[in-house]
Amino acid sequence: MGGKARDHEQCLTDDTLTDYLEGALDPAIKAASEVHLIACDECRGRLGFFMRLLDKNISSAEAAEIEAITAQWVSYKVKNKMPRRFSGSRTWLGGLAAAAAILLIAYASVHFVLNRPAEPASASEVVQLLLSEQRPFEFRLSNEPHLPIVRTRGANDAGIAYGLLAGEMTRLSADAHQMGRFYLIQKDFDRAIPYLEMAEREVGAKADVHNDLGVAYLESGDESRIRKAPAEFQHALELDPASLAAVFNLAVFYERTGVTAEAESHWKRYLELDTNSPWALEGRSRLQGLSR
Amino acid sequence: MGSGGPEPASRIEPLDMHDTVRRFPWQQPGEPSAADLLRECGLKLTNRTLWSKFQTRFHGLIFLYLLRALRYESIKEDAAGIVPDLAQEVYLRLVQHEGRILRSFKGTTEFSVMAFLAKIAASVVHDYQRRSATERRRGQVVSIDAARAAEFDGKRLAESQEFNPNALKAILSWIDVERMVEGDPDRMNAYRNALIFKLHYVDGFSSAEIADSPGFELTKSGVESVLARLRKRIQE
Repeated sequence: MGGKARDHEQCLTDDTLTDYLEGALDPAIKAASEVHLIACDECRGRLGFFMRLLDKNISSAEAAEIEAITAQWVSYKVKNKMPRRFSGSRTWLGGLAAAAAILLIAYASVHFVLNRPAEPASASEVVQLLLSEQRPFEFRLSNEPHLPIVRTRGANDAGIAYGLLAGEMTRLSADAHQMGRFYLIQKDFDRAIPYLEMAEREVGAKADVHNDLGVAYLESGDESRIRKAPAEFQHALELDPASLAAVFNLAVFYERTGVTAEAESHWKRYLELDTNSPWALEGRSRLQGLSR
Repeated sequence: MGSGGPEPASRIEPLDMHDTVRRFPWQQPGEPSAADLLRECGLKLTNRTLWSKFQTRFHGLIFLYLLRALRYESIKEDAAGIVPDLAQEVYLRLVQHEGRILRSFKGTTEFSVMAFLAKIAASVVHDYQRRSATERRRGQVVSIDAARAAEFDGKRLAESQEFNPNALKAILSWIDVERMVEGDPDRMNAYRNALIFKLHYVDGFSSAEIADSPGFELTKSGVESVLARLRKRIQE
């Protein structure tokens, strides 16, 4: 925002142009900007764009449009508080019973998030509440409470909670990691992965971010991404050698890819770190399955 | 805001603004300034009271800037269908990275707040336009340059009646800006005055619109007087 430069070095940024319009430039920079603006049609065009954008007069046509937009915004917010029907997805409607079940689950989860006695105070709380309602993957997200794997919802349910809860996430100032997790739970990988990659690039990105990005890569179904997943789990372990989720995920990854020795080794390591939790019970059972 | 020069008939005075927009410039007694409110929101991202104030004061402006930017980018789709989604995107950009953009805001005036929101809105619309253009493979999108030229041509025809519009290019071609600057008795503001001249005669801005920006440090009649002086010099 604001730093958009024209094609060559001398051209003015949006910040300089708006500062010029405000009268906030240092006199020397102001003078130099004027010299440039006289000669450069492109920068003057951009200056004109901001003059028109910031015009305090509002035409009657604009006023009418804003009224319509406001009405739409209000109805949008009302819709956000209600379960949305599933539109444009004929394949879903093929199985009426399945759709009804999904609707019920979606309603229950959203109702749980929005109408529980105390509203969630943060975006991470919304994500945690969603995770407490369903286990989206066989792999384990960071701080995910354990739930058994139940295959009742396919990949097509990606959009259910997004439409209902995205506004809430925005209102609660979700950061890139939480937005990535939010979309990941919905299996909307095209949205989740850019957010998680953004979070990963931030200075001080924690092991949890790498773990969740690894899960997103694996579950995306994209070969090139899947190949990058183990490195993310390893990165998580470099940052936090006791990252339970990363060890768990490496074990599942090797199990899935048929590298049994590695899978066993990682399950054993996991069980050394976690002996009693429901995740450990699942790990022990899977390790026994490998040994048979 | 005055109404200098010939203005489109549909323009109305600020007092008739839509309520959500009109709220912006009026700071209630005891309330923080627009700039302080913006910064405070950046520091307290989860403070519902502050954000409620933010919404009351700036929400209409965000809609307005998105709407104008959409029109500028020649996006003719139903604004009521698009703008709410784009407004969500504006809010998202404000709060992402723990409100980095809000916290980095250094302005002190209401204009600086308006410019700050306008830049974010413009950037959101620009990204939307790029995505749409990619999706449609430029099927129905008019080029920005063509739209800009058309819009500004229309302005010129409507507003710059001192010269025959058909002869405008010819006139501009012989205007020696350097000479105009050198011959301006107002040495301190010679470049600014030349810029005002170009904004009026080339880009179609009325004297009132130019005077609207505090950076020019002129009233509407001040702009008119600059234009008259330079016009006279050119005609000599």
